[in-house]
Order: sequence, then C-alpha cells, then structure tokens
Amino acid sequence: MVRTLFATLIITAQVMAAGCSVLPLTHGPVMAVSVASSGDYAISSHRDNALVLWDLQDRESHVLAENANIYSARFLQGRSAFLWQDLENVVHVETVSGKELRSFEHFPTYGHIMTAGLKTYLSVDAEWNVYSGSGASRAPVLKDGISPSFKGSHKLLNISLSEKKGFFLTAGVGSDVGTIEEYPPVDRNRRFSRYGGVTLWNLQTKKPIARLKGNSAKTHAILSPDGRWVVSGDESYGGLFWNTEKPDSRNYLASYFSGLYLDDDRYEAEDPRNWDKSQLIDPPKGASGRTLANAFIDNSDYFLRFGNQSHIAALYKAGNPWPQKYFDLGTDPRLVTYGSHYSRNTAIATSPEAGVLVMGHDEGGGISVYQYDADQQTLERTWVVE
Amino acid sequence: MTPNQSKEGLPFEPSVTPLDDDGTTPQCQEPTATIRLRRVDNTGHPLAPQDSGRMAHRTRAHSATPETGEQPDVALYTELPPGDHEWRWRPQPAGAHLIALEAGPEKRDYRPGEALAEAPVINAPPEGRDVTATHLPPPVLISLRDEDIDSDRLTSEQLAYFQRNGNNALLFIHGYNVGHGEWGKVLEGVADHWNGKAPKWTDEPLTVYRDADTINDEHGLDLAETDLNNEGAHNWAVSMEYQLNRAAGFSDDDWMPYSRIITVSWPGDTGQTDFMQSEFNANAAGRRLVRLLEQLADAGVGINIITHSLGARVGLTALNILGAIRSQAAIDHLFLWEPAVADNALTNDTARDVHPLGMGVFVNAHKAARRIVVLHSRGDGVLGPTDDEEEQSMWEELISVTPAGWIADAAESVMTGRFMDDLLGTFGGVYTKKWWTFPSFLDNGLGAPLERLYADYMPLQPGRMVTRRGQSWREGPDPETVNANWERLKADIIAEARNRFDACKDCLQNSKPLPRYDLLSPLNHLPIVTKARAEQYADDLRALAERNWYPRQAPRPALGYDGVDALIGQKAGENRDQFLERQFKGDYLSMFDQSDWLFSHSGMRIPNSEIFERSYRDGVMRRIQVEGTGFGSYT
Repeated sequence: MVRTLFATLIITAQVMAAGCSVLPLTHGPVMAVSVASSGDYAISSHRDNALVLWDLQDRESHVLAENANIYSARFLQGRSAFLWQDLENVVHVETVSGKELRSFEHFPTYGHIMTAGLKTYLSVDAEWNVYSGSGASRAPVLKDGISPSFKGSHKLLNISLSEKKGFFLTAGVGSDVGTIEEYPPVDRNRRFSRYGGVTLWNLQTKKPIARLKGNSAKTHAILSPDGRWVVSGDESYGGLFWNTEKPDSRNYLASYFSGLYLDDDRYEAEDPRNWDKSQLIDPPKGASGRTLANAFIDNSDYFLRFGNQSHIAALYKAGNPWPQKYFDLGTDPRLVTYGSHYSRNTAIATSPEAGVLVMGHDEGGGISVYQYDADQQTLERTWVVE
Repeated sequence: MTPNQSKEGLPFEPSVTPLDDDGTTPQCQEPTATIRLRRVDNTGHPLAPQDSGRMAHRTRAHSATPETGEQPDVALYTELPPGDHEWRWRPQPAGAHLIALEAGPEKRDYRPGEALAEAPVINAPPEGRDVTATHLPPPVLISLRDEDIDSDRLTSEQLAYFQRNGNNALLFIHGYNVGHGEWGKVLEGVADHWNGKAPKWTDEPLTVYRDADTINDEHGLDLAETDLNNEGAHNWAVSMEYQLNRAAGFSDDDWMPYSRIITVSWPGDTGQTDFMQSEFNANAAGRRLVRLLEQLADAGVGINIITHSLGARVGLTALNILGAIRSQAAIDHLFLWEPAVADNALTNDTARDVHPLGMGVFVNAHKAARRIVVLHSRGDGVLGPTDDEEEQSMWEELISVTPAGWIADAAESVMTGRFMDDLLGTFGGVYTKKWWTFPSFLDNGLGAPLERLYADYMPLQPGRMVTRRGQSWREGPDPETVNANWERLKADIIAEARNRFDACKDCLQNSKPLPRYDLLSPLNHLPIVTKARAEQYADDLRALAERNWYPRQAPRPALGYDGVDALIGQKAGENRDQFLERQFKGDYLSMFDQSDWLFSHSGMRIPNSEIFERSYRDGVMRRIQVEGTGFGSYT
C-alpha cells in the first residue's frame, strides 16, 4: 500500500524559542516510540491507535494513521523506514517519505522488529511466543506455553537486535530455571514458558544461545548496537550486564546508593563488606534504581538507565559497573517514567548513533526530545510537545 | 454399557434376557455373570475393595455386595444375573468422587457428584466384566479450631497421596472473619414447586467448586454461589483449589489431573470488628500449624503456602517458629495474598516492631521459606484507603445522621456478606484503624480483647478523680487494688513463661505439639518466651493500660496494600530497611503489584479473568511450576 503521507499531514507543533509546542496534541499517550538511526525522525504509536511521525529537525508531527496497533511503531536500524501494523493486522514497512516497501497480513503483534534488509522479521504475540517470518514462511522461534504473557505480566516481551553480531535478545520477567538443553524453546505441551527471562538468540538460526540469569520481576534488557553488550535492569532494583562473548559471566551494575555487590562468597550474605562503594558518585534526589528501561545513547559505549517513578537517568559506560553521571530529565510534563508504566517501557527510545533520546509522557500524547553531547557528556531537553 | 432408557428417551426397555429364555428356564440353569471392579484414585493408587458399594440389577430384585478374591485390590460381584446393574456406591471415605468409569471397551468421564445424582449403569455379560473406576480423593481440610490436636497432622493416607501426587503439597490459609462452614451438597436435579422449579439435593457432600451460572443455565434455577459451595473455610477451600488447578492447566472436561490442596481452617471469625482477638487466635493457630509443616518437610514433600489476609499471620507465625528451629528452609514458596500484617513484618530486626505488644514482626520467618512473594494491591479498601470519594461521603453521611445503635445493627447485617469489603474500605481501610476506635461501631481496638484476656485480673486501670463543689473523689477502682492486680498478673505471666520453657524446648527438639501460651498469647508467634521477654511484655502491657490501651506508635501500613515500598530505597528515609532491601534485590522476597486489576480484599475467591490470568496463573502458579516444587502432577 502506498499512501500519500503528506495528505494527512497535520502540523501541530509551533516551536517556541524555548523549544515547546503551543498547540496541544489530542492523541492518547505514547505506547511505543522509535527513533531513526539518523536521529531525524521518530515514529510513535499511541493508546488511541494514532501513528505519529515526528520530524525532529523541523519539529513537526504528522499523524500517519489512526488505526495503528498501539505497540507497533518501530524503525529499522540504519534506515529511514519503519514498521507499523494496522488494526486489520496488516504489517506495513514504509519510509518516512511515505513509500511502502512491503506489507503483509499477520497476527496482532505485541512487539516486532525487522532487519534493515527486510530479510528477517521477528514478532511477539500476546502470550510471548516469538515468530520469525510472515505468511506461509512464519515459524515459531519460541513457543512453549501461555505464561508469562503480556496480559499476565502487563509488559511486552522486549525485543532488540544487533545485526552486526547476528544476535537478538528477548526480556520479560525474572530469570529462567534450567538449561536450554533441558527446555527446548518450542514445546507445545508446555504450559509455563522457560523463556520469560533474558535470552540471547542467534539471529540467523533463531536458536537460543544463552539464558542471561539474575534478574527478578519485570525486566528490561537491550543489546548494544555492536552486539557486544547486553544490559538489563528490573523492577527489583537489579541491574546486570554481560559481554556477549562470555555470556556465562554475569556482572552487576552498581546500585546508586549501596554500591557494587561483590558476588564472591567472601562474606556472609548480611555482611556490609559485600558492597563496594569506592567509586560511587552521589545520586541526585529522586534517583531510583527500580529500572523501567535501558537505552544506549552513545553508539555502543554509553547507555542510560531509567528508574521507575523518577525523572533521573543514570549514565553508564558499557562494561563498567559504576554510574558515570546522572541527568535530570525534567518534571514537567511528567515523563512516562512516572506511574509504573512497565507496559509502556517501549515509550522510551534512542538513536545511539545520533545521541537522540525520545520519551513519551505519563499522560497526554506528547513527547520530550533530548540531545546527548558525547564530548561534554550532557543531555539537553531540546523539544517538548505536550 | 447398554443404553439408559430413561436418560436417552428410548421407547422400550432393552432386554438383557438370553434369547432362548422363555421364562421356563429353571433358576439353576440361568447363566450368571461376574463384575470385577478395581477402584483407584486419580494417582493410580488402589482403593479398598470392601468400600465399593452394591450392584443392583436394574429390572430384577437382585443386589450384590463386594467380595475379595485372589487380587486383593479387586472387588468381585459374583452370581449376578446378566444385564444392566446400577452401581450404588456412596463415597467412602466421605467427600471422594467418581470421575471416570471404564467398563470393557467403554469409558465414561464423570463430573464430581454426577454419579451420586444418578447411579452409573454397568452391563454384566455372562462372560463377566472388568471395570476400573477412578476417584478423586476426598478433600484435605485441617481444622485448627478445636482442641483435638491429633487432627493437626495429615493421616498416613493423606500424606501418601501428596507424596504420590508430585511429592508436593499446596496449603491455603484463609483470612479474617471466615467461619468453618461445611461442604455444599450434591444437586440431584430439579423438582417442580408451586412457584416454579426448586433444587433437589442429596445428602452427600460435594467437595469441589461449582459455578452457579453454569448450574443455573443447565437446570433453569436461580441459585446463589453460596447455595452450591456453602460458606466459610469450606467455600474458600473449593474455590481456591479449583482456581489453582485451573491455573495449572486443569479444564472442567477432564478431572484426572485435578489435585487436592490442604486447606487450613482457623478461628479467625471473632466478629466483624474484633480484629485484635482474631490476631491472637492467628498466633495460636500458627503455633499449631508447625506440626503439619514439620510432618510434610520430614516426609520430603515440597511445600508451598498461600495465605489470604490475616491468614498471613497464621503462616508467618508457623514460619517464625520453623525458621528458628530448622537449619534448612522447609517451605519452597510462601505467597502472602493481600496480607493483613505490617509492611515490615518480614524484617529481621525486632527493634523495628511498632506493635505495642511486640507481635508485629516475624524475624525468623524468612529463614523458613526459600522465597516469599507478596501479592498486594492499592485497590484493597480493607487494608488501606480507597479513592472513591462518593462512597466515602455516603458513609460519612450515614454515620452523622443515624443513631449509633442502628448503625451497629446495620453494620452487623451488611458486613456478614460480601459487602464487608466495600464497607470497611470506605473507612480508610479497617487494617489501618485497627488499634483505635474508628468509627464508633468498630469500637474494639486494643482494649476489649486485652480486658477479655486478663478478665481474671481486672480492674487494671484505676478510676478517674472527680471534683465537684470543691470535693474530690475517685470514681471506680482504687490504685492499690489496681497495683495489686498488676503485680499478680506480672507474676503469673512470668510463671507461665517459666513453666512452659522446658516443655517448649522438649517439643521443639522432638517434634511434639508446642504448648500454647495463654496469658502470653500475643507472643505465641515466638518459639519460646524467656523470662526476660515475659517481664518486658508485662511492663509493656502495663504501660499500654496506663495510656488507656492506646499505643504510643501508629501501626505500620499493611503489607498487602503497598508491599514494602515504603521501606525500600532512599525515599524510605529513617524507615529504610536494609535487610528487606537485600531480600528484595536477591529475589528472596518478591512484590507482585495487583493494583491495576484487584480492587477488593477478597476478589481472588471468585476471580474474573484478569485476576485469574494475572494473579493466579502468572503471579502464583508459574512460580510454583517453573521456579518451585510444582503443583500436583501437572507438568
């Protein structure tokens, strides 16, 4: 389907000197947002089924559709093309200029992703089953039960990929017991999935490579663009990272307040000497280690950790457990980080290549846009649409 | 099996008489048949053949009782006239149900109770018939209400059932103000009544949950859920067992995998407003529960426990004692569902207890469970404030314009049913008001149960001085009498601690029933009360009486309302609890926030689909099945 993009163009944002729009948007809150690798555009799908393309350079927004699956907006890495799905369950791949590259019928997705060359399409259903491909070539990658699920956990099975290394990653809730050998990922007789936690997969074979254990409760995890790192954070204040070349070696992220947990059994569990505070920096008021999401912000070198009920983001260097810096993301309007919106942790997205961060708001259909300066290590809110 | 004439509407009775029998065949030459009946439970375990009931020929006056032959687990019905026989089995032991009958090539599944409403028909051909009947075992309900401590443990048959059935046991402990109740009855059918249809009940108990909508649609009745499933602990037992089985994968058309749970019934029904007495009872019940948990743990059975509301205090008391006496965690998962205990109940530091009598924290409980999961909700109006301003104002208005006596009567009648949750919620949560008087008809607080507990030592408060027309005098007891009572009470409290000390020690070492503390009943959650602890208790009690039973500190928020959120992280300030924080981070303690879908304190008893999918399936059963010891034989 080719649509005339600008036929439905609605300019909603009159940019003020301070960077705020004056005309209110009438969409529902952002459920999923994604930023083009160039940093020029963002695409968002909203609770009221609006699909909005945000021109981050010209500071304009365009409502492309009003019948979008609320979790379906997602850019393809390295391309100015994005995925979305309409309410007839047709998935569209189209460019920011309105050219449709591909469309196909599919089931209602709860998160999906596609490689830049359109070769691999991965999608998740409401029961956190993962499929590869579409139509007749669709095949289950993970299908081993009905729980945990979107409805049960009230969050998506977050999915990210690194084409460079040929990995993709899934992250839902907590850790999984047992080994991949014991529990193959496709088992129609199983009721409770063994792949609800963080799992690293081979993008080519679609087979699991490693279970990355140690998180608990609702968990968000991402791959770095170069595929070298996996970073996770969870509702229970846990934060972990792995080098994908050594997936069996788990590393803790330092807690903002307690420091780094020394997982070496040297002392009894209760002993305070298990916590190293030597390189802690003082966290600002309002910082929360109860993680809602993580996002790489400076290529594969630095990432941000977003806390629940907090307007503070911590900057970490990949491979280094210590918070390097804290950024105040602002309290007005309230960001999506307020309200325990684990079902909307997809309303936080970055372009690590361009250093652009886009976040939805707690209420209303607007967004906040931030620019990261890698040299100065600063993060500036550059555009707010309420 | 031959067709059932009445059921299938046949215009004739199928003849089972041999074709060559014109009625003149001598009796001695008539062929006979044998039915060989093997009864098993749904784990495959054989059941006693002597309890197999009678076989009665459908058209002849012939009835047979079972004999045993060479195979000890097979009931033989011999010398039967060939043809259709009604198998008139009554549940033995009571509460068991037939769920499948395999006779020759035919197999039929039964819903529990179905075979009691209409006897199964078994055809016995002259060459005989091998029959296998599969039964759902009777339910397991442990009552900690009466003084019979022998019933605190499972029978050997019950224990063996749990060992066979996945070697795990799932316990459920109900909450506050739940009576013992009884099982519902089997619905036999419908009788025409002068004003319409009326249900016909059998005398047999039905020990599984029935859905009222389904039954009403099927029979054209208008029965309430409690008409079918009765009330009290028995109602909770069938409801929870059914939902937990569903969460594990059970569906109504196949009862073979259905697994029994252990329901613990305890005397929490102290009246709608006497929460404190109920807490004392919970401590005492938890103390008794230790024996059952030890029995299961010693038998190597994996144990999971689900508590509701004040049932948390029963469970945590048992775990507090177990944690002190066993080096290994005996319990796999403890699920505290809307727990009516303090949010810091799971701390390891007694100094954090704000309860005026020292019964607020269970410092050893964490040692007894591998993982503790708290299912909480800010939508629970019994444990915390609700946001519904409209309801609030309605009740405020009611209180302001209505005589107190009327309110008490109205409250008693309204609060005996399902309205209790809503009503208590409008007062900002009954839990948070539990230590003082609010509103007037919830006027019990600490005073009434303590004065009842120490009735033999009253008065414990001196009368007040009255001054009138320049003259002063005391109205009520004089200080000397009160002082003497306190001295007597303190001496008796200390004596009780001393007298029980050796007995408790011996019982803990030898797995015997723990003696209960009476004067020290608020401390029944402690394995042993030392003399020093008893002295401290007596002094605290006297200080409390001097404040007219008003505690110095406000109660902590309920754990079931907002979990441990107020105790964790920097925002907790001086309430920050590093131990709970470590438990939480280490995933030994998990919070499961149901605020988005659980809006009443007891909403899980008959869950909607969201509560079922999110709380039962993902919050509870997935952890038991995937991360724990499993439930029954579900895979």
